[in-house]
Amino acid sequence: MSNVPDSELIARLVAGDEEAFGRLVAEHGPAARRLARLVLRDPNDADDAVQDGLLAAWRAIARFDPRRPFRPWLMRIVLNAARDLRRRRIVRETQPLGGHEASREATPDRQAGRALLRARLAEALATLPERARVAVTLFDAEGYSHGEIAELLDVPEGTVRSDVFHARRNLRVLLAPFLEEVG
Amino acid sequence: MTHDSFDSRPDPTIGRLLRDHLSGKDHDAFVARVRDAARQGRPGSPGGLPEWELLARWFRPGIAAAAAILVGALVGISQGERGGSIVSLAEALGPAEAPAELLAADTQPDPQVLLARILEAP
Repeated sequence: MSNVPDSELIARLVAGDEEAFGRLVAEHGPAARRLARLVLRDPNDADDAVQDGLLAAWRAIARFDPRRPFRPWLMRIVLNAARDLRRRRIVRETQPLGGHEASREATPDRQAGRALLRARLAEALATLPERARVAVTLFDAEGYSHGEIAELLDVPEGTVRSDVFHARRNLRVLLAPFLEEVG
Repeated sequence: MTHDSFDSRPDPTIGRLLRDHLSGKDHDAFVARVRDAARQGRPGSPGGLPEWELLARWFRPGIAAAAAILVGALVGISQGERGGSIVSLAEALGPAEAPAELLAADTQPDPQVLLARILEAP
């Protein structure tokens, strides 16, 4: 993974260095894909939205204020792209939110346990409003501060705190049997 | 477990579950795909627009043109019938060949071309 700071990569990108774009994609792509999957149930749609968002960010990079943090700016663009794609796509319920294949090394029992956990987590996430899903994931999984999330979602910081609290409480209730094991 | 819902620090257990659950497969392939898309459509060029932007741009004038053509065709047929000579739908659509051609095309039509054809139609 890149050790070059975002600010330097952005300066290189503005100067026309396409390699810098690739490094930013490699660096921020995983979090962007997770974010898009909170909005779009289909993983392929989510990846399409992330690609749209990353390319839109590239086109708009000259307008980015380098004094501000890059990550929330990029994630806001990705979030907008995902919401936009959701509006335009026919809803495809082909796969539950975020599901992916089990590891090949896993034993049948373990595989079944993981599949159950995935299904339960998908159900639990589906019970949450989108804003709460995004807030709790950005806070607990991505390490964003409440303030960063508030800026990204364009809501007051208190709203984010409340969303994280309620989402976490719901997830804990719905995932209680699994949290005993993995916690 | 020491973490509770009121805690203002990130919950590592919930965080790990969410990260594992939402993470996409094959990130290297995804990065390669985005880089390839970027290479094909550099910023500032028309090719740099994502497909949905092109579609959105095309969609509104396309629908407006189709509606106008349909109205024109119906009026033409109606007048033809009243005047004793039947005007076929194909004849009524004659001046508007561009939309049909563009609608049938495999690739996305250029909205500028579409609009120009419509405006130039007699």
